[in-house]
Amino acid sequence: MASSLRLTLVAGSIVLVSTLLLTSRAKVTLPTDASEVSPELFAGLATAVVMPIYPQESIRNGSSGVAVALVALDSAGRVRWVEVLEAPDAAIGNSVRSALAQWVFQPPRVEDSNTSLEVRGRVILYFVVDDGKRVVLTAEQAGARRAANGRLRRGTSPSR
Amino acid sequence: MRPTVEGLPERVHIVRVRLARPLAFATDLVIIVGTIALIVRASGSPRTSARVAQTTAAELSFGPGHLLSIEGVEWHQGDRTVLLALQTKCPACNRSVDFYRKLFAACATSSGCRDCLIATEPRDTVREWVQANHITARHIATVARPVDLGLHTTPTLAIIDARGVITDVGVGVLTRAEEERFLARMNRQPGVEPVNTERQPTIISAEEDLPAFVRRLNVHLLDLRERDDCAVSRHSAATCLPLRELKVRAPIEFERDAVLVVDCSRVTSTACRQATDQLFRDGFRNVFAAVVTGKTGAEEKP
Repeated sequence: MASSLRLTLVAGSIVLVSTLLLTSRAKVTLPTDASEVSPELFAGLATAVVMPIYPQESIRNGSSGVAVALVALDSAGRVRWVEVLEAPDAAIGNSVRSALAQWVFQPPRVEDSNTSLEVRGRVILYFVVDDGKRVVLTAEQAGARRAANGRLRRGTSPSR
Repeated sequence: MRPTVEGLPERVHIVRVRLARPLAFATDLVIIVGTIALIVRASGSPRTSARVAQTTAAELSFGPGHLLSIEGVEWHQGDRTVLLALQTKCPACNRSVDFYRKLFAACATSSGCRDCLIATEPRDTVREWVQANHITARHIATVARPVDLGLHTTPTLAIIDARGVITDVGVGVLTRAEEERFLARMNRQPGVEPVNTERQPTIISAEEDLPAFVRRLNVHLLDLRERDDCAVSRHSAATCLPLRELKVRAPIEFERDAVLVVDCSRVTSTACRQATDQLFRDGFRNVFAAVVTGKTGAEEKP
């Protein structure tokens, strides 16, 4: 009787503690970037867009290509910070950073709910030569031009 | 001395009674902690598992539509290449010698046909076997790890087109009908075989130096990891294009007929599948899932 009670207590403790540990681990090991939304979804949140300038210095140096920035929004949709992940050169990186800081986003919300979220997302911009002119395009604009005339090739990353 | 209980001196018996409970408690504690540790360890951390679970060549099989690269073998030197993977001591290989003799002879007399024997054994051993069996094989290559090419069984017979794409495969001792099919292929007019007609991702098994491979085939090798990971180690020939950006950037930055090779050896098989599926959905026709193995010594910090 005493031994079966002891066995039950041991087994119960194992199950209880393991369950607690595993469930707490599941919370801890969630990816830290869980709040990052896809670039296309993030672009859809923008309500006012300020395009970066193509810096003269970059034009002189012939820098062109893709710039990617990670933008964090607070629950009101305000830009908290901008991190440039990739840019053809430093001047373009600075231009992207200062332009994106002025973008306005609608407050990101959970679908079918009024709960606001703090989210992050990537903004992809192309600094390219189009019809002989240096232009800055959003990914959507670049995609549309590519589909229309397939002439964006020269503007892709110089490292490629 | 007073009488003892169960043959033990009284002092020993008292000590045993006093220690019984703490000992039982300690035993229970050890069992509980040990079992919990085992359970937790077996469950693993999801993130760690994801990092470790990278795609390997062994997970992917050798089949039609796969792009194949073997060091020193130039597929483009012929319209098609008969490739035979064997071991000289393998019984099934030796049972099929008559057919191989016929097939290689047909290839030797067929315009644009090349042949290649691959084995893990030394070249001289294979050459002796070939000569003893009167097989007219002109090219013999030694492959250290056939599994890196997706080859798991000998004999495996394949026909490779001028681009290095596998068009036909026969494994083991072939039936009469299969033998006839391979022989008939020797007489087929040269031409470009369709690739990825089933729109399935396929594999590159690159045994040669990777940058040379990428340059020679003029492909875009995509590293899907985040930039931090790419910065630590990537092939100089690879383009770092994080998976999160693939859907937006690929249709803008690559022609639809470009040959896109996803380096699956750096990401999970799920990520690899997700990327190739996405590229197919975006209309790219030449998409390959690469498990880069063998000589990848060109890996360097950018």
